[in-house]
Amino acid sequence: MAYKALSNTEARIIAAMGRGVIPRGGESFALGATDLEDKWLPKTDYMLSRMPPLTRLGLKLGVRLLNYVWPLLCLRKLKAMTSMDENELTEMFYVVENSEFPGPLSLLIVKILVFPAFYGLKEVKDAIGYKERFPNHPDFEGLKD
Amino acid sequence: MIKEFKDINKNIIEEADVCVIGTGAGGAVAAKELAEKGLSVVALEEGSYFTYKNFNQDPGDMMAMMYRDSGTTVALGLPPASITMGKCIGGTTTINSATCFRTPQKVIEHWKKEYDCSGLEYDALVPYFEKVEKEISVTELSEDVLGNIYQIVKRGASKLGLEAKPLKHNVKNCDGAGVCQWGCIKGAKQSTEISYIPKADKLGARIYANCHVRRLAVESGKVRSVHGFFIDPATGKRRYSITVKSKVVCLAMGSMITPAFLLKQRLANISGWVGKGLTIHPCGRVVAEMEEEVKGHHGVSQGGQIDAFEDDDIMLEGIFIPPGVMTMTLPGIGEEHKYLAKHYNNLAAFGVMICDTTRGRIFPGLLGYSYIAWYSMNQTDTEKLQTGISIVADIFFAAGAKRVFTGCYGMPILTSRKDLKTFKAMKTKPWHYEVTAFHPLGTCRMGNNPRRSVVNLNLETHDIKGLFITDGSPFPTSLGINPQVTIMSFATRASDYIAKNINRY
Repeated sequence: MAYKALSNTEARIIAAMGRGVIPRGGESFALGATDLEDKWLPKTDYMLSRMPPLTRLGLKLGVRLLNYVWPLLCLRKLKAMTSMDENELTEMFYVVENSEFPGPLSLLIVKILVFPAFYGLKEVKDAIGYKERFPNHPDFEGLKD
Repeated sequence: MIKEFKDINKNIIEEADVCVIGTGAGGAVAAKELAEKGLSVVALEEGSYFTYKNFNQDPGDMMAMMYRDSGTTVALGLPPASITMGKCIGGTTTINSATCFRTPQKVIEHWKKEYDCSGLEYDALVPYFEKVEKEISVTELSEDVLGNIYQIVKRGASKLGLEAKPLKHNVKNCDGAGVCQWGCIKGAKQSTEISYIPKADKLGARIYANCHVRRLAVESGKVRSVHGFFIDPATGKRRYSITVKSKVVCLAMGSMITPAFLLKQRLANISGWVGKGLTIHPCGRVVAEMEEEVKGHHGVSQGGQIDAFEDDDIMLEGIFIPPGVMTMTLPGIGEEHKYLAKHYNNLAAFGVMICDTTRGRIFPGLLGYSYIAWYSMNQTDTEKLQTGISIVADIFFAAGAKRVFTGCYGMPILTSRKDLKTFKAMKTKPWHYEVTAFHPLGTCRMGNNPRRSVVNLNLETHDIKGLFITDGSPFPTSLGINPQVTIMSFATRASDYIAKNINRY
C-alpha cells in the first residue's frame, strides 16, 4: 500500500507495534491490530502527514530506532520488532511498561501511533461496545484539508 | 464570506482600520466588536474553516484535521507537557470543552496588588462578562445532559462531605453528544466560528483563512501593515501574498504563538518580558473502573466541578474522552489493555487542574515550528497535582469504584483505599506524571510599568503604538479556571478602547 507520510518499512514497524499492544484473541474481544492493519495504518499515516516535518521525521526515526533498541534492551535479543511474533512483542512491551528505563512514558509513541487510529474503526467500536450517542450530522460531507 | 485558500487566485492588498490576527477567543471577539462599532476590519487565520459538516467524532481524524500539529504540540521539560491547540477558524474555542467561568475576583485583586495592575477594577469588568456570556449563550445544563459521571462524582463527593456543582457551558440546545473537543456535531457549542465570526462577517469584516502572517511592519513606533501569505492546506505550500495596511493590529494567536512571533520580529520587548511567565494549568486525569455501566460519552465532556479546594490552587473538573484517546492514558498491554478497552462503558473520569506556580518560557519558532516552549513543572505543583489526584480517587472509591487509575507512573493503579493511603504518602516527582494542559497564559504580561510588562491595561503594547495583544498572553498569572470568558471579556474591553481612540492612530 502507498502511504503519504510513511515508508513501507515504517508502516511494517508500526504494524508490529500494534500487534504487540493489541494482540489477537483473548477473553475481551477477538480482534487484534493485525486484523485491521490495512484500515488503521492509513489513519495513522494521515495523522503523521499533518504533523510538522520535524515532528514527523522525529517519530519516523524514533520508530526505526526502537525497532532494534527495544528488543535488545528489554528482551536481550538482537532482533527487529518486525520479525517478532505477537507473544514476543507483547512480552517486550510489558517489560517496557514496567521498567525504570526506558519506562512507561516511552510507550506513548506506540500509543499515539496505534490507539487513536485503531479505536476509530467501526469494527473495533462494535467489538468494545462503544457507540456514539448520536450519528454524524446528516449533512456530513467528510474531512477537509 | 470567509475566504479560504481555494477562493484566492491573486496577491491581496487590503486597507483597514484594524487587522486582527487569529480567530479564537481573543481574535474573533475583537473582529466582531470592532466591526460592530463601525470600524473596517480584516481578520486573518492560519487554519482552515471547518463546520459540523466536517466533524466525524473520531479523535484521530479530528486531531489531524484541526488541531495544531495533529495534537502533538508540547512544552518541553521534565515532564514534557502536551498543550493542545486548535488551528482553524474559531481557534481553540472549536475544540475546547465549552466550560465557562468569570475571572475570579481574587485573581484581579492579586494582579492589582502583586503585578502592578492598579486601575483594573473587577466591577468594571462585570458588564463585559455579561456581554460575552450573552453572545456565547452561557447556560447551566440539565442533569441528563451533564452525564452519568457527574452523578457518580456527586454521589462520591457527598459521602465525603464535598459538593459537586454543574459547570456552565456556552451552548444552545445541547443534547450532550459528548464530543466537545472534537468539534460539536450538533453545532450546539457556541465557539467563535459559530457565535462571533458569522456576526463579524455580516458586519463587513473581511475574514481570510489559511493565511500565515509572517511580518509586522512598524515605522516610527507605530504599526503600519501586516504581511503574510496563503498556504495550500493540502500541501502546506505557500502561494499568493497578503498585505493589510492598518492603523491598529490585534495579535490574538494565542499565548504560545503571539510571544514567539514578537520575539522573532524583535518587537515590543523593551521590558524583556515577551515569552516569559508561561503558565499552563497542568492537568491530571483520574480514571475509575466502576461496577455500573457509566457510558461517560453520553453527556457533555466536562459536566461538573468541585471547587472546595480552590484556595489550595486545585480545581476538580469533569472530563471524558472517546476510546482512542482514553486508552492512551491507561496502563496495560495486551490482554490487560483489551480488558480495559472492552470495559470502556464502565469507565468514569474526572480531571485535576492546578493553578500553577511554575513559570515556563516561549522561544521563537524554528524549523517549521511556530514556537518552542519550555515548561518544567516544579515540586510544589507536583504535590498539588498529587493531592488533587488523591481527592478524586477518594471520591471515586466512595462512589464504588473497583479500581482507580492515577496517571502517575509511580503508582498507576489503586485497587483499594489502602493503596490510596500509600499513594498519598508517596514522594512523587514531576516526571512521574503524564502532564496535559489546555490553558497557556501569561507570556506577554500586562501592567502599568513598561519596564516590567509588555502591554498596558488596555492591552496595547508599551513599545508600539497601535499594537494590541487580545489573547491569553497578557494575564500575569494562572486564573485557576478555564480562561475563555476572561480572554473574550478583555478582548471586548480592548475593542471598546480601540474604537474610542481610533482617531489617535
